Amino acid sequence: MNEVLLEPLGYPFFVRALLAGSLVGALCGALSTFVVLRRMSYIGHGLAHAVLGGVGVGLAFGADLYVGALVATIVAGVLIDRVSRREGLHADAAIGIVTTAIFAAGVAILAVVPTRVSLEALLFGTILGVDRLDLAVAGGVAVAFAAVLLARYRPLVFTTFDPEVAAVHGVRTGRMEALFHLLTAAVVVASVRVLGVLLIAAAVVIPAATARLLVRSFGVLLVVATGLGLATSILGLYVSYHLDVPSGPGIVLVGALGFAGVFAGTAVAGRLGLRRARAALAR
Amino acid sequence: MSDPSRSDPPAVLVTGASAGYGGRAVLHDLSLRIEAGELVGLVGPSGAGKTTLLRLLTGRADLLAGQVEVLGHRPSRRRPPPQVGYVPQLDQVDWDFPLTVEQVVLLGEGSWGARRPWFSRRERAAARAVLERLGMGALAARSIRALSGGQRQRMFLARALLHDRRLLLLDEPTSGVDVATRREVLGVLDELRAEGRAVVLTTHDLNQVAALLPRVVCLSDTVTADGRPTDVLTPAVLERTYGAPMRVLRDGNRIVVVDQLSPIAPAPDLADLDRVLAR
Repeated sequence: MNEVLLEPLGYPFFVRALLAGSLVGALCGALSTFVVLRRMSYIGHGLAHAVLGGVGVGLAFGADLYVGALVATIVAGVLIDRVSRREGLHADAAIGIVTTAIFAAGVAILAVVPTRVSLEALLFGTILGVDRLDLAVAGGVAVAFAAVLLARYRPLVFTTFDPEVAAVHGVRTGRMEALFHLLTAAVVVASVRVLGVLLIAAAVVIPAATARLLVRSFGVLLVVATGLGLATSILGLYVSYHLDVPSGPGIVLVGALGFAGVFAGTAVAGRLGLRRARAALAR
Repeated sequence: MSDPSRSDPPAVLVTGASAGYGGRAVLHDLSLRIEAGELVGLVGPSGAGKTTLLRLLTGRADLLAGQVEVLGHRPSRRRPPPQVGYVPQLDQVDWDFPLTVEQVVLLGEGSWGARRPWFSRRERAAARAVLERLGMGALAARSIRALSGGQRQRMFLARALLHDRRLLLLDEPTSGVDVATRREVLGVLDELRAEGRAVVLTTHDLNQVAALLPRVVCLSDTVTADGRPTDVLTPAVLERTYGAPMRVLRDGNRIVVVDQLSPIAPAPDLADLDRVLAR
């Protein structure tokens, strides 16, 4: 057992991946609390797809992966906002059009223009390619996320729960919405290397969906989802190393298995409770 | 709560206001004055502008013409008026949201500049006090999903009352609740009115809510009538407001509004229907 855990730590690339993966996992877990409660899983899905387009265009022009990803999320955000404002169109349609179009552009460019980055690594994540910059980006986003959460926790929760009344009580709900989208974009960009663009959407949903089955308080949900994100990321990276699968699927599969276990466990516990209640009434 | 002095500005002062959304007016040339210590019901058909009026008073509808003052402040989206508590319709809220009663009330605390996520002992004590005041003290730690309709209304009232807010706006507070809960809610609102607050609610229920209030404002794009229910809920005003004829029955001080629509005829049996279609 010790060998399974300690042997990969002898490789600097795995240690870097583990550090970046832990930060990204915790970030996705914390973000998932807001994503799940706002029922906005499609935004993570959409922005992650848009990132690939930005990365493709950026790499074709010799820019860094993160520059392209950042530009793509900003462009996607502005276009989604513009399209969804047109009467008769809603945000889901706008996200479906804008982000998949940018994604398609990225795939097309990466297929035509030779780059040093593998398309598979971008789609599914990799533990081999995590460098100091990836670690710095994940660390920077984690610090910024924590700072924003500490400073704006109350208005963020109020806006998530009841935006109309929050506005009456003086919360700048428009700013809180923008802040939420900014945080989502930052987490998505920071997660690309470890999770891959196709699997980020699951990582920003599964932790809070699992925690939701166990806890009833927002603050506890946030902490448990963050912990679950962190734990599944670490376990998933070990799975990725030992089974030689890309890191994104490794992390998401561990998370999905955890969700399935908690789902089944809570269902059984609920039935047992019902049976006990019926037996008590029958006595 | 201190008694309102005569020099206090009115709770609501709307003068010749036209308002709506995106440049399209929902309310036209509306004037209304509500003082502290009043309990006022807004009635009117769907789309008459009841909710838009509440939004106008909290700065969330666009003022196209005229003037609006709420407790002496001109409300806008950037600067909603202080001292106003708002209670939304119950069905607008996700009741599965993982919050306790006390946590929802604390959201009304309003100290958005606070640099810490947790609430202080003083803030929690204030929330507990207002929950006790509304008979909800024992439910402070309960999850909001486990509350009855009346308890949910009381919880939102508690949130609206934090910081002793002077104007309470309630959107359909008796919609979808049973008779006992409706009585409970109206009783609490009357107590708050007696303390000197202004309370404004919207309702579709003419008989069990509007007819029991001290003042009713009928809305249909503008104010069509304003006064005591016995003076306002008349066949002429109701037809002007709702666009449908109604009868008003009187029993002492109580009035009952009855729709003039005849009972719908029983459905013809299929043989009759075949004959009709064959013609």
